[in-house]
Amino acid sequence: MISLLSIFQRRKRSETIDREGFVQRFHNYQEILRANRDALELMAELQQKLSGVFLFDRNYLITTISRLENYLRTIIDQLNLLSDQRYTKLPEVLKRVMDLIQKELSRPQEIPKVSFTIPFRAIKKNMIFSVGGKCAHLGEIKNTFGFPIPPGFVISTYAFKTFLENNNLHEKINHILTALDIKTLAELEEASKTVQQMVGETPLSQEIVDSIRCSYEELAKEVGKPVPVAIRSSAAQEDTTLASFAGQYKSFLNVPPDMIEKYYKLVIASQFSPRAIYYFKSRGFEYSEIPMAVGVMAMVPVESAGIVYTRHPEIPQEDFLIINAVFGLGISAVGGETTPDLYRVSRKDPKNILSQERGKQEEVVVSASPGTVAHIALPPEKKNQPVLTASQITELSALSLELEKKFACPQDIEWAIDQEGKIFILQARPLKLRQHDRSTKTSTAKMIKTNSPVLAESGAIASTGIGSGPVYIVKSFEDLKNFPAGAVLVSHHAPPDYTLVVDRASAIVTEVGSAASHIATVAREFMVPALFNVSRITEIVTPGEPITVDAINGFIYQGVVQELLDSYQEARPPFKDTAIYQLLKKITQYVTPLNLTDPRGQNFKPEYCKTLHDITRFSHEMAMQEMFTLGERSSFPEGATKKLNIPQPLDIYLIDLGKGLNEVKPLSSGVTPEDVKSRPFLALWKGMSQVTWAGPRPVNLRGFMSVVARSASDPTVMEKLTYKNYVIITDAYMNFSTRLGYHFSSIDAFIGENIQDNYVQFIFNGGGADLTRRMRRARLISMILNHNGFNTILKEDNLYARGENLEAETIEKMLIVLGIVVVTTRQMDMAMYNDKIVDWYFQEFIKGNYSFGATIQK
Amino acid sequence: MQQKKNIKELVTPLENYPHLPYWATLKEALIQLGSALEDGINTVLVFNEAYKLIGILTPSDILRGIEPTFGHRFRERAEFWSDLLSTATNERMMEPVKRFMSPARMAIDAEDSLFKALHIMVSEKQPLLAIQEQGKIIGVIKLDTIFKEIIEVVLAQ
Repeated sequence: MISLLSIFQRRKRSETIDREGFVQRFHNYQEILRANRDALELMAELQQKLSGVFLFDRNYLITTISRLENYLRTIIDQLNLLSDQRYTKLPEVLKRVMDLIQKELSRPQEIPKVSFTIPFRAIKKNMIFSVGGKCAHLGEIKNTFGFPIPPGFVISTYAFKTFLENNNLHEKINHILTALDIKTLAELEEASKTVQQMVGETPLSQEIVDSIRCSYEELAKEVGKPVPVAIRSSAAQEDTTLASFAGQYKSFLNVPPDMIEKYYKLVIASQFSPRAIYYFKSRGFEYSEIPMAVGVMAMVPVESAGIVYTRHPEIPQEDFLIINAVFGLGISAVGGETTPDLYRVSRKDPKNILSQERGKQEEVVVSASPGTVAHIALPPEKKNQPVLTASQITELSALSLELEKKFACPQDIEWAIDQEGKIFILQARPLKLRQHDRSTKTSTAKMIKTNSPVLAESGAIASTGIGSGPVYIVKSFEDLKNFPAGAVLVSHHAPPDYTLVVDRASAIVTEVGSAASHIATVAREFMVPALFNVSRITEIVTPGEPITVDAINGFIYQGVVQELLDSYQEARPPFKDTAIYQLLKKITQYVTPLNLTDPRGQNFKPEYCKTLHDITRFSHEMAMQEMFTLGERSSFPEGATKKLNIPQPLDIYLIDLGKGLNEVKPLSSGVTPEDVKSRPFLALWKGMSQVTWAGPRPVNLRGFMSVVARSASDPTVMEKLTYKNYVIITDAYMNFSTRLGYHFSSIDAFIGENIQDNYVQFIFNGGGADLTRRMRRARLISMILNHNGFNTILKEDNLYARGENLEAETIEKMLIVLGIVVVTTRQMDMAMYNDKIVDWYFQEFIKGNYSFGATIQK
Repeated sequence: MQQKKNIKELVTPLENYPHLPYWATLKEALIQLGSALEDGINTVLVFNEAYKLIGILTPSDILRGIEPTFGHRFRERAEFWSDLLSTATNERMMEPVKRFMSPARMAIDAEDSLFKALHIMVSEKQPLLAIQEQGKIIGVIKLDTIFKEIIEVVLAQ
């Protein structure tokens, strides 16, 4: 059955709820709201990481997931308290999803069985776990993109694993590290020394040695003669802190062929420095989870070397690249006393060298005796000469930009030029740009100067990206049915229902909204750009007109701004091929996708929850429904209620659950509207009191039961007779169930500090006239509420209306409308002679004319 | 020709008529009647808050509401609709229909004879009568309807 419509079915629950019970449940509800908000925020954060722009480590994933689980537990527990254990299936559902996540999280990283050594030319893109990040990149540069790198090979992670497993080295290391208290520095140093010594003393197996020698011979053949090599670590884990830590692993230059095995073990041993041990132990890693590959690369007879940044890391929007250059071995080998040459080159035209700053180099680093380098004085003829010629600068720039294009993100490139003037790429990695605020501009897309008219230049970025398409303004749920693929969804706000069309939208723009809302989460899931809080955008744009939404810099342009779209494609951060990123991807598939998009859908049930997001969506919906029926199920002793003294012939009793009323004299049993502090009630009352109270007091049914056929046969009449209009309030909340005459209506609203908590929901049914007339009145109310921003569901004479995720002032306006509607449409079902009459009343409402009926003095 | 039909056979269900609560305004009554006339119905039923029929509104009732002199003897005066409408001030249009309706004083039982119904209608000047069955109002009977019956009987003789 359609679950949302279950609201219409009066719950038959024998127990009534007293004041204390209500306060408790209200508290449960508040807890659900809070946990729901926190959970959505965390999901948003995970998705932000999924963009590939922000770095993170495994520990982050573990703690984030565990925090999420806690929030989910809170939501479920509190929902079950709120509903008297109606959702006992939910804990199982959560466990099922969490189990899947935990399985991914605890899955040990497998080290694939490959050869002990792999030549650079044989490296393929998917080999990162075998060759490590650094060498995988080199392999791609050479084999996929065809750029020159020095000949070389990788000693694989499988060799690493084999080495450790032989001679029980793994057990021995584990034994030492498990017992180690990393907080004691002396102990840490001692353990490090022991393990490093063990690594040094344990021989490599003959198979590994043979493999290394064989690969070296190939290298020598490729170069044309035996040459010394550089040996560098290439760790397979590349999460943030580890990556920065990876720099601590040792590298050696100018290693002679017969010493490769020795230096290989020295690189391996560097993984057990005191700092390294401290790092992975404190993060809860096993050292074997960070397998090490080692690159062996022919030494290039360098003339000069240096670094290229394809953008300025601090001002990436500027259109130039930077080259640092020194004579001799690379800058990293030179030390701080040398100032390298600095060139700025136009990114548009590498021939255009924007500036050259000559450095100050006294010494040059050259290969010396085996395994070492030497600092010698820079030959005098080079002192006044730039390191690079103009044509070298241009060639290097063009090559670097080409690399950036291939990797689809700004690059940090280490290069060398040999004595014959040939350029080699030694390393390339994504350039670390200055970190920006999460909610503001990211630096990966440049600002494009465009002549297109700007329609809006403010807004909160809820999902980054740039998209364009024709405007489609959505005012109600009905509008979604015809949503054209590729359109830009423009609406005042975006309730969870709108998620149904997100995957078809090219962008989403709203006047209000929160980055932690359901729709924002889904937009990020589908990588649909979303810009919220763009004031008056529904008035600024015209349906069908094409616009471009820049949800990176927060602009909306008229028309399709092609250069902007292109630049975004260009600058789109690459999907990282790191292990930790892959893990995040695997985990988020159980976290963020939303399958339960439609509360009216057949699948809106606990058993269809596949993700944590589904569970929060379901629980939140159910919590709201529970709150709805709460007022009706409650009963309060006389003393707990305060009668509202008002001129209208209506008995309203207020029950204050906290800060809903001013301090009232304890003896007075009545209060005036001025004493009320409940924001939702005040808004409702503003509406109720601004229209004429037409007709008599709400009927006392006792007197005419005999005349009314419906009542006579209706067993709930006795219940109705004893009914009072109770309003349960706090400063931010209101629940108002009422029977004015023959219909039932209930209003439940919350106006708090967070937009995503704010809502108003309204239910209306019944009447005294025949069913057709009752249906027409329900339709009239539905039309009025729709016109005022509500989403409505109509079924015969049952109406359900809701507004949510809206700013406080909007909810207040909607409550004022509800106040007007509940008073003026009282017994109006009688008048619903035909559809023309419905339209007439609707038009009067739209005109602001609510004077239906006259005040009757009895 | 058999004189057969009793009241129950000639009843018109209440739903067929426009309804208003007695506190509805003249303006609302105008709207209702305007729409009903298109269906060939010239009466608005007036109910109380308990959905009990308490009166009927005919076009004359409504006109009297708009222009009180219609209730008096006719005197020669400028006759333009605009004069009439100028007196139909907003204030007057907001008067409750209760003030202008003809009270539905009587109800007649579904088993009663047409003759009795006719008698009451003529003597009480009611164009229609509520019909009740076991204490419940089941509809109304119109003078027109009974009159048609009478014509048939008279002409058949």
